[in-house]
Amino acid sequence: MHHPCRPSCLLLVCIATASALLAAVASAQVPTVLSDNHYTLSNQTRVLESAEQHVQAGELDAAEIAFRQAFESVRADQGLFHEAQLPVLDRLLATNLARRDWQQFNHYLDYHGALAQRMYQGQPVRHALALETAADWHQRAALILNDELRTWHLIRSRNLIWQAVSALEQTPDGQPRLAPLLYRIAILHYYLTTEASIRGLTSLEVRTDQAARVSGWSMSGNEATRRSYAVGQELLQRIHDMHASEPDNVSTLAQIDTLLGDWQLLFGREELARDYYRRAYQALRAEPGAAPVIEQLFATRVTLPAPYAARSATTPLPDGYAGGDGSGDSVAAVLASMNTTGRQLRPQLTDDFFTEDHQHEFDQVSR
Amino acid sequence: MSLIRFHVKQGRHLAGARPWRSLAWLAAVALTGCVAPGEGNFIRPPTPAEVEQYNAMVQPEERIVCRTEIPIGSNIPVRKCRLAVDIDETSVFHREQLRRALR
Repeated sequence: MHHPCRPSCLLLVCIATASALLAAVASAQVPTVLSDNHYTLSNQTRVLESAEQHVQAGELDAAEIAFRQAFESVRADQGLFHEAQLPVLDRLLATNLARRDWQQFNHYLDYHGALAQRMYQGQPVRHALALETAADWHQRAALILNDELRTWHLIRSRNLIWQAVSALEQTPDGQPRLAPLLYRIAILHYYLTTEASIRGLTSLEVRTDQAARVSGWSMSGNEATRRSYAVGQELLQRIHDMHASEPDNVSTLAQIDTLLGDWQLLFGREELARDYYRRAYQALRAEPGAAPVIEQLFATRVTLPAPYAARSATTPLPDGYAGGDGSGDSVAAVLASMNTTGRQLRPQLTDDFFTEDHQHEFDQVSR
Repeated sequence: MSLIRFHVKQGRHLAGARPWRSLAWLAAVALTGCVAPGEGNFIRPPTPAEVEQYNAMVQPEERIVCRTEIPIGSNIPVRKCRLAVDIDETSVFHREQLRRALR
């Protein structure tokens, strides 16, 4: 009987395998000639400059590659948990946002979150600032996206700000920064109810952190709107209470009363809004030297939701924590461009809305 | 409760010596009993903002949902907080029961 496996066949197979292995080993040993070794410190600046030039020229893909090289270089050079990564990470996020590469964008945002948590352990104020930065990126993404993804980014942003609030509550240094953040959460609620539909998307809040809805129980649209109103009202009242113990707080409290009035107006409660406005106005009228504040609040056209303008007079920010302005102004400006449906204006001194007499309602609010 | 017991003891001790003081103590005890929350008494349910802050800090499996419900046999609404996971499981269970009953 003829055996299929002759010695000559075996020899041929062995020779073929050996040559293939040798070729593979040889190719692995030949050093890959890098056109540019971006891992050297001297080249980092050049890589970054070239990345910026690509951005200027609108070559976003090339810019992303260059920023990634710079990012890897910084990591190799300074360490995996070094603050020097943050500026490059910011540029990477901006580039991926411009490229609409949401997978990369979310990847770098997750990295940013993990890095901040690792770097700022035991430094709640710095950690809160990093969380705010991440929240800003989510809001920028929400401006570009639509529907479900917009809602997801707004919810993520709100959660990050809540985490920042929780971090700041741990330390007295963080107290002055709380009010603007609480106001940001309220504003995000407003945008979630008006510009992005939360209807049927409760799963994005309670069931998952991913950008995909999970079927099951969900809050109705009306219930979500009522909840948003209640949260905003509670947060604004909390801001009011925080400032209530400060000396010389008349104009600050009046500004927060005005924001409370705005909140009622945004949710269609005009009577209550009028009462808050009147309370603010009367307090300011009784205060000598408050005319500029009256002018600022009620004599100019203010588009709602207004930026947070009230500042604590007695509790300035601690030194070294000036990274974010904490005002929420920039965020309000970012979010304001989302306000595509019927813009509302705060009533002015000349409007009938403000000058009508509803003293009994004012008394109710006072109580 | 222990605070109230302490107040009562003090009241008894002082009762013989100075009656006006004991009256003051009794009044204080009565007032404290009315006002102090005490141990194991009513706990305020979390507000919507507190629920949201809590949910932002925990994993999805631990998140809660608080809603105002009207329990069977009553007209008084009650605010109930449940784990979102529990709501889902209960919902699935009830659906299965209904399906079984309709078979």
